[in-house]
Amino acid sequence: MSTGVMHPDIARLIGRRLVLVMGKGGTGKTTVSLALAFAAEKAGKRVLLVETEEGTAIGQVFGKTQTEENPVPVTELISIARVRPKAEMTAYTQFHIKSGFIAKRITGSRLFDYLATATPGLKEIMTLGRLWRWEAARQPDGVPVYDIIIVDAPATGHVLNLLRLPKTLISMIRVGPIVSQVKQLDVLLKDDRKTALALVSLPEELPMRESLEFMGTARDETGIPVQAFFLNAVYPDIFSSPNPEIPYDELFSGAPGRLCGPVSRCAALDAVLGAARHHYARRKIHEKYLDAIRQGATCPVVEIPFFFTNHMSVREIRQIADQWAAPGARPEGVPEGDCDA
Amino acid sequence: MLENLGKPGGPRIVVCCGSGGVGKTTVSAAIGLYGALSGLKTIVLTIDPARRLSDVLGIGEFSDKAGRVSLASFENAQGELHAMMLDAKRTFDQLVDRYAPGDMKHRILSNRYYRHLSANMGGSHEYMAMEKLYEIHEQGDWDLIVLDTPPSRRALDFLDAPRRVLNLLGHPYFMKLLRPRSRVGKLGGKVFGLVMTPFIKAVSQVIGKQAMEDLVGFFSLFNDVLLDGFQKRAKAVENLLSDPATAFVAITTPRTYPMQEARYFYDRLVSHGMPFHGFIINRVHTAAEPDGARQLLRELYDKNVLPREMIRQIEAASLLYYQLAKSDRKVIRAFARETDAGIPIVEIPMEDAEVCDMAGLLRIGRAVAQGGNPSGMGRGA
Repeated sequence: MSTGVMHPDIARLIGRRLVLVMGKGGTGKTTVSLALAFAAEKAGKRVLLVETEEGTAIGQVFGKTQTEENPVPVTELISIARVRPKAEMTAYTQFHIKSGFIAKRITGSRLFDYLATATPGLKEIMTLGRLWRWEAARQPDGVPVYDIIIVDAPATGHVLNLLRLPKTLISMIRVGPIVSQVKQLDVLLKDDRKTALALVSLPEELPMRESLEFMGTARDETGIPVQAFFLNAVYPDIFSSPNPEIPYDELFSGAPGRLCGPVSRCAALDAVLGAARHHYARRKIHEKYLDAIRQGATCPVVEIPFFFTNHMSVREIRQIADQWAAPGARPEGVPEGDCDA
Repeated sequence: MLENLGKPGGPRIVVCCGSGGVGKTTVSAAIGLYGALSGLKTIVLTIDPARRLSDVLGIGEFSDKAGRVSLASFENAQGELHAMMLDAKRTFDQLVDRYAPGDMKHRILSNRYYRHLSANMGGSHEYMAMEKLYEIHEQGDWDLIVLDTPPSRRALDFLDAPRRVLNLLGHPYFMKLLRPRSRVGKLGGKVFGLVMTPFIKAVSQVIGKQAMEDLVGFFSLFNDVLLDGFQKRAKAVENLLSDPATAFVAITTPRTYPMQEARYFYDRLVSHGMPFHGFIINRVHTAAEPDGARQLLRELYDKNVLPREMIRQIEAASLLYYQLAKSDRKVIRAFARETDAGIPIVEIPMEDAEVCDMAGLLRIGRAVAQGGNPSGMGRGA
């Protein structure tokens, strides 16, 4: 297994045992989780890709109607699984309550649902407990069953709970079997050779602001720094040229009238320039956010190009991973003009 | 859609639903602005607004006090526009303040479970948004209230009867189970004495005894002190929302996930008989490729009016735009096909830049109010 040519930031990330992929809803957490899984597979690693809560997006990508709770292989080296905190909590309670009758009564009651929701961090700790059991799984010869576990984590609010979890949960519950489990997990979570947080964001105002805040909180409050920042859906830089003579601003800020002389159909030309101007303007906005995040981020920033479609399929996501595996290659999705054909 | 805004019998409350990242807050503000310019005294209740938007509205930071937006850039603006930020925890505290007798207030407000639930629990933000809406409505000062709901499915939890909302706070089953044993008497020095039945003992073993006592303490207080008030309140909120003068709209972008969410909001609202007024599809790449575009570029290329490198770039960029516009068109058509006839669908074009002035907001407001003929474009033939 060689990661010789792999994008160095990605290589570092997939060298961890546990990668938690986080971000606001709709930023592309699932895309990044999948792309990381494909990249790890390319590096020869056995991957467990995990969905949380009721998610089914990853299963759907592999043509399944839902993701099972036990790992199911979907490619040569990738397996997928789902963590459901409630199921974990049931198993946990049954393990800790000696009387089977009472354990059943508890886990079967609606009170139990309620406790799972109302007690801060309980769901998260159950999720983490499961992840670490997968981490600890070994084959008979002592080799880990999975080289890397990648988690498509729930939206950021919940994730903050997860990160603050040791503190909150211990302060709420204080003593008992859960607290000792939390303390063990806390140690593992804070071991940055084993665990990494990856944050996914979009080049838009609110996701960016939230991400920067999140990075600060993660570092200062929880002691678990973000190790990679993925800026997703960035418009490719089509309008850049070593030629300083190219009048971009002039053409895109003014009326295209002066071009109308030489060609016959002014309105159509206007429309085409308008479409190009849209790209130019978007890229400018994205560059502004790229600059901001490169200055504000305390970790490597990985840019993921925008794909000009409304549906990301395995094909597009594999392209992202391919790009990471061979960083020199030209990104797909940027077609070559055919004018000089 | 919302074409009666500002006219007699038009909507008095507009509730904007949708998943995160679709521009819900901006569209809410735009609807508010349109209402204000139609002569209504309008307030927009929002959550988590972008700095850019508060700059556009010129109200500095949003706060939980209503701030008045200057409409000076519009000639003869008759109405008023105000904006207010929702603060779930504070709204919750105010409710406790309203319904709890003096000595109980402090006990509730300082209970660890209360503090956690009121600030963090899924559902409390959503419920408090509706609560604030009701409170503002009760003030009676407003012709139009626009509510930008929190971006989760829970925004509609109030639909399943007020009881369900209350269940977020105090589980009735839980109460039945614990209360007879826990209520030693609130006049005594100790408010709760937790009787350790085997069941409670077992639960305590899992979550810890202290947590159990806090939890029981919170629910007992809640049940004794707040339940009645909260229940009446929730019922009133429900009545207000199902009133014909209320209009629900669902906002999405032309992408799979937010569209699924918009559909979810629609189904749930309609199945509860709530007044649904249509879908708003934001950020649509509207322009289609004009005929002969490539020929045209070749002509420019041959005549050498621009650097050739630039023409190649213009071609590449415009083709990407048209590819995306085509993709947008396709998903919107599919969405329209699955939408019941007669439900308006409005498209708002994606602009080159993020909305950065009142004129931009008004363009969106107009697009919402004046678009969306149910038999219009986008419907599959």
